[in-house]
Amino acid sequence: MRRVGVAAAITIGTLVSACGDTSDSGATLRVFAAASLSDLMTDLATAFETSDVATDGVDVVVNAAGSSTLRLQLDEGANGDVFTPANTEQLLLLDAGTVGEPVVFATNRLVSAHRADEPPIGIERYGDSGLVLGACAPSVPCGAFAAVAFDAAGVEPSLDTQEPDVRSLASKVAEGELDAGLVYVTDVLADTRLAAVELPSSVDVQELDVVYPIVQLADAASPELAGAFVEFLGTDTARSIIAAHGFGLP
Amino acid sequence: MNDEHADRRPTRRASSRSRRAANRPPAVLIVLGSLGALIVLVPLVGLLGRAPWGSLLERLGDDAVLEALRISLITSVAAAAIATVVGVPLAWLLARTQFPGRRLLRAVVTLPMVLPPVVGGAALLFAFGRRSPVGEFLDEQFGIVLPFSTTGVIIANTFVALPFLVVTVEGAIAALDGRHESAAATLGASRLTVFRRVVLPMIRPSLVAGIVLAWARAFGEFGATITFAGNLPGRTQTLPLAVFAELDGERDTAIAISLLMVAVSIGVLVTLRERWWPTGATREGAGRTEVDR
Repeated sequence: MRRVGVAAAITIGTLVSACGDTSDSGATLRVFAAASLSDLMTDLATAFETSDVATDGVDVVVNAAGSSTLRLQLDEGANGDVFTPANTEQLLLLDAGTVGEPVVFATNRLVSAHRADEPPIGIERYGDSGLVLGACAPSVPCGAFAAVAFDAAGVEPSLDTQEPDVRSLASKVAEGELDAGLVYVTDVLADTRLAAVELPSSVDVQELDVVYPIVQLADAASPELAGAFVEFLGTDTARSIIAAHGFGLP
Repeated sequence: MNDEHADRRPTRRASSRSRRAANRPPAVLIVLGSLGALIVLVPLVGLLGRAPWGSLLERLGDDAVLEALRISLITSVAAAAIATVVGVPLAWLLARTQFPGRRLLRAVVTLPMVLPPVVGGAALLFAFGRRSPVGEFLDEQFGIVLPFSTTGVIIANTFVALPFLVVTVEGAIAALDGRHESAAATLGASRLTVFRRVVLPMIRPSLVAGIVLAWARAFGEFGATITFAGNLPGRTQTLPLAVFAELDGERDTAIAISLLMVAVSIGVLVTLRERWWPTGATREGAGRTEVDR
């Protein structure tokens, strides 16, 4: 249950930046990561901290939340070094300055998740009001993708909740409160209680390509470190970790 | 001259110093106190500074906002009503009866006041969720699924609001002069009659304060609601949830709703101010006369 209000999230964002401000050596790297990346980023952070690229004592702090909440934090002045939202649109909307071109380092895809011990439910059944169904709120990427998917599948969804981030949606399906929900395949792989139904090939439209870009922020307290981290995500070490979490590689 | 004396007599000096201190507040307290005030004031000013004053009414008249307002009013009023119906008897039991575990029960009932609401929401989910015995029973027998329903929002609201009513009312009952109740009992009134005809009228100001507090807590509830009841416009999306949703989308709308909630909160405080600090003894006196009658 990782529900926090935006206010709390902003506070966390501020605290994360406050942590960075205390170390002028630039030994702290603050990663603002989409909620769906939180497990992956934690592993990548550990790998980066112990790699030769990073100097001794580098500390990577991951601030994970819904992509739009992160964007809000950054626009309101939270200090981050790199930003990895769950779609490129959040980068277009970002007012905070960035450095260089965003690099896509992982891909994902939307699936319909259900409990592994319950019958599967595909997207075509999301119009059934007898089922308890969920998707993400339209303001976060997984909700925007869900809307595209419903459109492409020709389904008028009968939803019971629009969760503010994909992790809380996945956990409500895993707890059995929802019969099914549209989440990323990596969320299903991360929880043994969940199983997935792939979207039908008819729904496979290009707008549903989930890509995770990473971009260095102009305000980065340690630009070298931020640049090194962006490069690190392209190394074989990082790519194997990304693949192990079930993400696609670009 | 005073100082001369004071130099010779340390006690006098100390007292003259404390008199001066009473006239001029110590700088350290002024600085720290001002900081304290700023912590509250600055965010409010920040909110006001961002307010879309020109389009405020238009944004508040938005269908999504009105829908959230409707859900908020229904659920918070229902929660305050339930809290009153069950909370007042509970407060009386805690204040006027002896039973094993009474202190523990009082502590537990107060818990939601300090518990993070999200933890309360999780607890409600484990208790009334579809996988829980209670939830399974309701689902199978009546087809009722509490999470993701307006009823679920009311339950979450009641959970967080009830302690505010119980604490306020219990304090008032405990502070009552027991002689009124004894006198009524001597005259043949049953305990229930004493409760209805003596206790309730005498604690009326506190009861109103408790109801308003409980309602306000329910009106502003976020964490338990989104955890237990989810977020669906028109069914479970209350104003605070709408703020959260719109903050990511239409930020100006989120700010407009926030201002509305600030205004409501100020209204609540103004209402309670009169209840908590009655002007003179008039209110107290009025209460007594009513009872005497």
